[in-house]
Amino acid sequence: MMETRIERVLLQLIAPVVAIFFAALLAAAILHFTGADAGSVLGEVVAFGTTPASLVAVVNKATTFYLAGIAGAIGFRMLLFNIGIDGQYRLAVFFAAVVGASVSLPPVLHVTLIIVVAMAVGAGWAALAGYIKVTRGVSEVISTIMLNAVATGIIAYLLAPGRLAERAAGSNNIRTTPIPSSGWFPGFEVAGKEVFGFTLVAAALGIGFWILLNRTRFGFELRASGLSLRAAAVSGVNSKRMIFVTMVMSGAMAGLVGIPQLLGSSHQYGLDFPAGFGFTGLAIAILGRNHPLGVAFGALLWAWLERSSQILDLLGVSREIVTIMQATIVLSVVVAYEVVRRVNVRRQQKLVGRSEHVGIESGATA
Amino acid sequence: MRVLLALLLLSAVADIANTPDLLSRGAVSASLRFAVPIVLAGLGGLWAERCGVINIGLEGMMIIGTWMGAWAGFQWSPWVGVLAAVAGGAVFGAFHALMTVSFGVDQAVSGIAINVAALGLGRFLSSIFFEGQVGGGISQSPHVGQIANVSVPGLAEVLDPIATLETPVISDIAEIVIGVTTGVSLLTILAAALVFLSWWVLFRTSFGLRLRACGENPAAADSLGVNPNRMRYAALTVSGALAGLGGAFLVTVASSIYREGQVAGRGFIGLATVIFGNWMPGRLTIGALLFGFTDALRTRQETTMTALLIVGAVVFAFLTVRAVRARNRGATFAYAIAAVGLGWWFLGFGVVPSEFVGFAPHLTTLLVLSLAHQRIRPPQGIGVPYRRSEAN
Amino acid sequence: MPAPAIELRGITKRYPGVVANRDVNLRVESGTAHAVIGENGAGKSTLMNILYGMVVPDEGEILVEGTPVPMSSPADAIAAGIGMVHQHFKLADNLTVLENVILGDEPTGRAGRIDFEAARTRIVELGDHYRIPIEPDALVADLSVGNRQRVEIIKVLYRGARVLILDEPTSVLVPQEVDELLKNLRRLTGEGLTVIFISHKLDEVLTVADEITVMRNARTVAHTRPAEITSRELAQLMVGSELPTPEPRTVEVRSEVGLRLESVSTRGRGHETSLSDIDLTVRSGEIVGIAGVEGNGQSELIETILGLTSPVGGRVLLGTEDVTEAATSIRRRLGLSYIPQDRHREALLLDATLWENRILGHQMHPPINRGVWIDRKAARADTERIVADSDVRTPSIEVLASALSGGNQQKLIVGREMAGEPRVLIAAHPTRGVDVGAQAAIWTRLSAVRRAGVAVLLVSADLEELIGISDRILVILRGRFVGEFDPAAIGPEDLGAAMTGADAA
Repeated sequence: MMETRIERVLLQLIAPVVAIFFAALLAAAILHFTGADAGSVLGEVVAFGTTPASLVAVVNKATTFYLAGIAGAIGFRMLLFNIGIDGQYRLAVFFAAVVGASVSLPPVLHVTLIIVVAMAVGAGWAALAGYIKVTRGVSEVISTIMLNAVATGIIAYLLAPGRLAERAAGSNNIRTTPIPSSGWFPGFEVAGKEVFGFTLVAAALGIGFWILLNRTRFGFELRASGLSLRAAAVSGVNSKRMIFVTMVMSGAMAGLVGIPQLLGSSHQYGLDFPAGFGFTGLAIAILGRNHPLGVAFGALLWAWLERSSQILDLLGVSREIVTIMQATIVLSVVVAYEVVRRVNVRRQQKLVGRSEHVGIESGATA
Repeated sequence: MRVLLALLLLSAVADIANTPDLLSRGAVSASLRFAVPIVLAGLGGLWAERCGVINIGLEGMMIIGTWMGAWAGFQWSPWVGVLAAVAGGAVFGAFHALMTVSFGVDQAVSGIAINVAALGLGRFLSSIFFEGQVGGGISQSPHVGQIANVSVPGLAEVLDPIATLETPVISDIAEIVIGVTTGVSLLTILAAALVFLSWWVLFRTSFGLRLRACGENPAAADSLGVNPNRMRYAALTVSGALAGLGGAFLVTVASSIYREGQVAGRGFIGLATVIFGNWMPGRLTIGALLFGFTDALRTRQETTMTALLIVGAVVFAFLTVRAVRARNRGATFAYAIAAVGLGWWFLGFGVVPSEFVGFAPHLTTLLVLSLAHQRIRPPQGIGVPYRRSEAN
Repeated sequence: MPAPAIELRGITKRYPGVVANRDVNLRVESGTAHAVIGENGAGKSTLMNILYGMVVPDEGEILVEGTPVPMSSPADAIAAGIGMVHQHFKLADNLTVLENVILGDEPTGRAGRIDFEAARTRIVELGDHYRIPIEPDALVADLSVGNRQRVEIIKVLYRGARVLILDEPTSVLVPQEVDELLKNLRRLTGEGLTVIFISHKLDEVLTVADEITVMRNARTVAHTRPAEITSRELAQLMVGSELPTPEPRTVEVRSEVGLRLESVSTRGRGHETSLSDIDLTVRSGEIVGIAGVEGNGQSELIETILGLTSPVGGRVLLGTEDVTEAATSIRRRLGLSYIPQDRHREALLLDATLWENRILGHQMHPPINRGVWIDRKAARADTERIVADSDVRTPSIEVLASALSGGNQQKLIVGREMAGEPRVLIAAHPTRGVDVGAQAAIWTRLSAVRRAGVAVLLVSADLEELIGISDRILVILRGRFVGEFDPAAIGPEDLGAAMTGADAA
């Protein structure tokens, strides 16, 4: 008998490899038809994407993506679609910036406070969707989409001069007051560039998520509920509470999405603060199969594609081709995962069939 | 009857709050203009969900519609643009079917991917086709001609004296009639026809019955020789085409240009109107008109929106009474709070920030979903992929 | 002699790792009621799905009135005049009766417009003719189970079917509805239609069928007539050997109570049955059987004991602890185990490995639980033990549960639920859908845990099973207990009568 576990891991790896290859092929075809030399463009992109400055930028960007990806993965593990990551993190980082700027505390405490505020706001906003799902059966897909719009409105209202923000001198940007340096999260230098210190926190959170999922009772109950809500309920899991808690956890993680940027470089929230990481997070979670390591890989790939695409404009190619590649990767990876899943089940059924006595199994699949 | 009551309420409010603009012909035609893309998106959502597939990709399909509409529109004519938009939307609708029906990809995942792809595709294609054209660039298209407007001849002249009389209700009715009969885009008329046509096809024809059956219980349809997967392909293609048409409206009626971010979540609001309208085309349209109305008000004077506070307070007070009668304690409580809150807001502040009006439709959808849940009847097969082998 | 209405020759259907039909032959004469009987998992449903075009066989041919007909979809079957009433009704709840009936065969006018008037007239006529009245404009969601079945039958007749297949038509009906249905079937054959029905209720088969075909282990093993055979002989044909008789009881019921329900009532939602005033005591070392026609409150009773439904009145006790308000996890920790009827839905994580499935329901018990942690090593070790002890046939404990055959899945579940010294075990149809060998093994295990002092509640539709291993049998009817019997002093016939309320006086 083969080591089925190793085989399974290998099978899982086939899907993303095929997906990336397919997306690259598609991108090359598009480049070819738009008259560019795909080979040399690819060479330039790889060369630019592997400079030390690029790599540091990739890691920083990937930190943000990773947090969004984990937020999505927590939900997915329980078959919940937290489409509200976007609203949750923007609301969270906004309030974290406001609170952070309005207090003065010793460094560690200050940073902790900002992080706690962000997590609490994200969790609270997600909890609304969790609550009406559990009590009223409202699909979180719809409710989180609606809550995103509400969050946008609230921020638009509060982020105005005279309310919780001020106009930046000499620009159109409107932003919150800067957080004093006691509330900054120090980074560390690599190759002369600064890597967000929060990257380490994000990595620790990923490990924590893995331990939670695979080693704890709570994690087991979460995964069981995601595989079969009914079977988990019969085994003693309170499904409603599990749905609510998962949604809150996902929201708390989503609350952190803007934190690396806020604590590491911006130090204030403004109109120019990056947005729209919600769908990116879900896409990365899908790509990474909701596994902390897979999500890390997905986040890095995503960040690398975005970073190295910056060179494309200089080469006279629209860098939006990367977005198309990303969408292609997501779609082809889900198709590939589904194919692999079916192949795997069939393969295992054959293995089992061989080890059974042929005459005895007429009762199967009744 | 209900319509008359609502009209009476609005008319009274316009008087009390001294905001004649609330029911002016301008506000009415603006509401229509804002509502039509939402109606079309809603119909797109309706076709998909009636057949058992959630189409989160509506937003992306509308984006494709705007781009295709502008691309074909600026080169040839706006009507060619409309056709191209419909075709583009339909292709993406069929793609959603390919993903969800043939490859078994989760419906929400496929929708999300379509939205992501549409955004990038719009920008990428713009960089190729719009950059370098007059007025064009990576985030916008050159000028696109507009679809013609039509009016019922003579009606405005006849009604105008009544409208300017400023007699409550009667003048308002005259204003509304003028608003919906003067300077109406042909696409608006097409959209109205499509609402009726959707109803007729879905509820009066054999095709519609089969389609709805696949949304309720695909296994049942399959057992009678109706192929659910084929029906889902058809429904999603129509769904995408409608969303594409909604995009075309934005380009050729609501403006005369493709601009990035133009769709601005209307696809999602369309999804909301489906729920709001209890999966019925007529009610969905009323929901879309409401959303369009609040949208139109946002772009007008601020006092107009204040008037909405009174409307809201009265509506919630009415709902409270109904909830008391239905002995729904939770709903009574929530509606009462809303009514008192809005009333207090009007008396205390008298101002609604325009940002809040922006999410009023979304908030209303959330409230409707959480409070009227017993009365809504979603198709039962929604979101569930159908595979023959699981049928027995 | 005219050609038979239906003839199946050499039908074989394989699924990965399983053969569902093996060289099956079936001959159904026109105008007769033909029963296909066999144990669950014998291959009856697959065979009927093949006949109706839902499943395409790997080998063999189907003849309708002597002519071979290719069946690749239900549309082919309908065209050949074959209709099917499925065990789980294929109805869209949110559509009306009329819409459900005409679906796929609508009378249409111009531009595909449905002629609702014509359809309504036709349905009412059919109902009158066969005396199966239905209300065309009612919403299916509002109909009772019996009325839904009528809609299904009208649906088939509407399509002009000459051959009706009914898959376990009586399993969901209450007794009066069963009588009504059997009368209707007689009337249909009287009109010259052919009826094929699947059943495992031998008394019905013997009263209604003109001919009987018996299936066992994916094969047709006998063809007979009611006049030529007794119910005991039929049963032996079905199981293929002497009926496995459970080992003799040695009464050693202890005095301490394992499970007690005191005047428990629930309020059913939708189609659920409400329990009213249920009193039940299961002592340690006792097997109490619950007999009843399906849908008379058995699943509500189980849900209440598990804590998935909270009663509106009464108390539930595990041992001496009042758990009426306690969560399922607390009840599990107090030693409540459960072997459910629908293992795919309630007992397994199909996409998880065997050892992960071993954890399910034991995540709060040592040795697997260590505070907030799960001990994976202990889980793996204990899975190996179950696989060895219960003869679960698998290459390793790392395979997915979905890869195992039904009998092996059930053995794993039984092994799991009996691990960790349970105090109370609920077993719902524990031998349904498993082969004879596994059946005997499961009975032996149940008797063994009883001897070990576990209080066992056995819910079953298999009367032989109930009588064979229960110490007491309670009969449930419409959410109430209507009788208590000593299995030593009662036969299946008496029990059947009590279940249908025939002896309620």
